Amino acid sequence: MPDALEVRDLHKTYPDFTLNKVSFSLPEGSIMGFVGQNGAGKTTTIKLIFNMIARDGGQIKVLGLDNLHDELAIKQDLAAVFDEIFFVDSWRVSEVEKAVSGFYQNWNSAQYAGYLKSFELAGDKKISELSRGMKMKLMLAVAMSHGARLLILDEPTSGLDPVARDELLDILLDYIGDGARSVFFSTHITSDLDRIADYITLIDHGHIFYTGKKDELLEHFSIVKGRPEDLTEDLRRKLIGQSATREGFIGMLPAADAQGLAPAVTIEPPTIDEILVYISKGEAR
Amino acid sequence: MNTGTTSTGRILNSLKLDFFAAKAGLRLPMIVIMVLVMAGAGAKQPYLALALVLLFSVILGGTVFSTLEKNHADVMYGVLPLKKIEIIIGRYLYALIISVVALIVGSVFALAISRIFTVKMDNLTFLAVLSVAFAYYCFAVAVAYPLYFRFGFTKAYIFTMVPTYFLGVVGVILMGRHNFTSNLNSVIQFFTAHQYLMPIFGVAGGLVLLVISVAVANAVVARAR
Repeated sequence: MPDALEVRDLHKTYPDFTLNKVSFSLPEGSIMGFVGQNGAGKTTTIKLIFNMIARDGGQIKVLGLDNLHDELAIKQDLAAVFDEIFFVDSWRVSEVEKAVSGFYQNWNSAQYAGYLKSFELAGDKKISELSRGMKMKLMLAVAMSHGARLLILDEPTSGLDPVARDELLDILLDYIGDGARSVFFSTHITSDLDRIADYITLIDHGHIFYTGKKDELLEHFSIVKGRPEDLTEDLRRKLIGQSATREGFIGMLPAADAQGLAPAVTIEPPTIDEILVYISKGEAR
Repeated sequence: MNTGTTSTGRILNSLKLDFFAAKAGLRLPMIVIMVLVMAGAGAKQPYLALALVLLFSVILGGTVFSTLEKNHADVMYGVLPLKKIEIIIGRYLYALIISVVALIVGSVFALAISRIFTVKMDNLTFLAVLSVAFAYYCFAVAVAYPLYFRFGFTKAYIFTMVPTYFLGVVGVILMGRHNFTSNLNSVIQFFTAHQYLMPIFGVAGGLVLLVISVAVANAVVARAR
């Protein structure tokens, strides 16, 4: 399967942050969750994909083309939804199409009107009058009306209520239905990914901690719980991150290291949230 | 995979987008312009109305940066299939169109005031006001736009007036020199004899400033990235 997005050794240095040799790839027709805590480098990576900021090293390919040399061609097939709406808030919903449609050769007015109707977005409403969920849907309507084959979303669910989040996830699943379109979805609300993601890339302090299939990620780690006396020096070394509990401790370790522990230690599969938390704790250690 | 529209097409689209973005912010300045015209009419001074409209249009040239900044619209320009230089050229064309509209609106109101109050307008003064105001407008835009592109409207706005104050100080120093009046007389005599050259100097000088400023803005944006 060809890659919709391929990032190799991407490097960007700021005075207080470094995106360090980030590499991952998203196969066409899939949804990848890009997970990390705030400030981990998610938005920086997305801005680099759109060439909004200059990179210090590495390579990005979108649908097989280099994002610098073929920037204009790529952006015809690339769409974005950010956590904050980037249209002028005094515009009416109907004016958004007038403002941006001229830039896209494959803009489909009928499709845009269809999305507005199905999302219940009134054309005469001002953007400033829309709820956060409706703003998100407007950005999605624009993003999906010009034949984009890769949709990139940066924290689209933050600030949305559970119903709006659920609707958004349904829209994304529907979008990739034809198998030719892909979604790259940055979030720190990992429960969204449990439902829709095929692949997960975990980023922590500018480093990629894991990239691959979601199911393999969950199989790759185990959560262990036990009493204080169960926390041997050997186990402590193996733990990626740990917390104290009233009963003793809870921590995460590679699934391969979860064999041969004391019988009193319970072993459970992790959630993506737990993996994120313990990676962060491990980093702090 | 598409190859995108032509560069000219993209610049024009960017220009159109600028006007769409600035539309809401243009209402208040339009009201201010009407007030300035009224002030010129009240004083029965068509040139005053013309000069005030043209000078105030400098503020109109900055409204697009202010509106876009408030709406995080730099992200929108980053997502659209547009080169950075095309955004920059589109923005300077926006400024140029604002100035041309201001020239026309200001001239129409000046002529109307002249007719209504039977105030005579001579060609030389009319062309002088137009040319100097246009050149000043271009100078102000040429200084302000690279700063807006680099630092954003909010941070840069205060500094965009510094060169104008500098020009004022230079003007005062020049006027203090004894040969200033005779030099000024020679200039006036030259342009009285060659009136057609005045708008050429004003327009050409202004456009040269804008072209230099486009290059500076492009370099500044590239460096900031």
